[in-house]
Amino acid sequence: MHELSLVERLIDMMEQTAREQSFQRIRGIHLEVGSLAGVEVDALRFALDLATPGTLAEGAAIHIETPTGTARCQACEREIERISLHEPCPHCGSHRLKITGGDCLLLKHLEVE
Amino acid sequence: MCTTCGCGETSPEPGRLPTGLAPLTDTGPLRLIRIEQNVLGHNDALARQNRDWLARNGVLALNLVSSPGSGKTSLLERTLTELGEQLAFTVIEGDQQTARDAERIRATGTRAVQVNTGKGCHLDAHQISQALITLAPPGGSVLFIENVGNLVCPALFDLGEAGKVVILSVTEGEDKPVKYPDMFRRAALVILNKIDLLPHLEFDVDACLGHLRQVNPDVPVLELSVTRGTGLSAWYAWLQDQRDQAVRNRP
Repeated sequence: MHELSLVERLIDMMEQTAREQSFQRIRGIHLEVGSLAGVEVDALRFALDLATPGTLAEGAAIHIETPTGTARCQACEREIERISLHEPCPHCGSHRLKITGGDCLLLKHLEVE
Repeated sequence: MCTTCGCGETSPEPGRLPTGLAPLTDTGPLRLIRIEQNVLGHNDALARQNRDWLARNGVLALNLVSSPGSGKTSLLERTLTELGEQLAFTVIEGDQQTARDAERIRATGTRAVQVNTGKGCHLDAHQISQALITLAPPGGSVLFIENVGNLVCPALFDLGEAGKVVILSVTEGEDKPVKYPDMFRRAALVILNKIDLLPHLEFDVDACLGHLRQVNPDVPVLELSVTRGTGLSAWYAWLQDQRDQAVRNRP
């Protein structure tokens, strides 16, 4: 359940932004969770429900984009979309794949007042 | 009592917000603030600081990760006892509770710091930076970081180590590498432990290695039994080689 520690860090980031940009309330949180980020979206939502009450993000709407992971095959050098980490390159069957995207948990933007 | 989760808080009536909150429909002017930051960025920055410090001091740091009960602490005890005269070691022990593992390590004569993560399921880079201040590992030494027994959460948290050593014991499922690919794909070395038990099990080593190659095609694998001492010389040779590289690459 590392999602809870990620949410604690997320709240720190939002509180810091609130101090820098002078706002009191967050109405919407926009996140990106890549399919290869190692973060479960349901667990993340659960952790947000647990941890945001009493913070400036209480009651905020949560918007989560989930882009598909991408990789470059080291053998045939083609770019591929990757949903799982153990599947081979669909073009040449190699498992030597370098992940090039969709492996991050990003705080994209906030709707604040 | 709250009817949603059973906590002591009174749940608000349906359609009403908890006290102190303005209704969401009553919005003031909304502003959009672009952030575009990685939530793990803070941990990664601290991990880079740890890695820089370790590299400058020629300290080889290895992050040992596995399921609970794979034999991490036993591997360390035996390694520290048998290699303690050739190499200098320090150990950071991560567990949710107790200092039992640090006590086992100290019994070998090695300095160790216990980090209790409480509810946390992994060590993070901040905990390691604090432990480094306490331990002050000497130049040219090997620092073992024994992470919380968990193949999921520690995968995401870079500590600043030179590499992750993933330990899998043959009493576990041979398909663990594909079940926990986030961890196995980041391994610098995989140790297959408890191989003395293979005659009593249906664990298929080749099938396990096949699963591993799907997520990490080139990772070296050492098969060993800590309790019987099988294969330990290859582990010691790998350790010595990695430590020599850390010393050679010291700026």
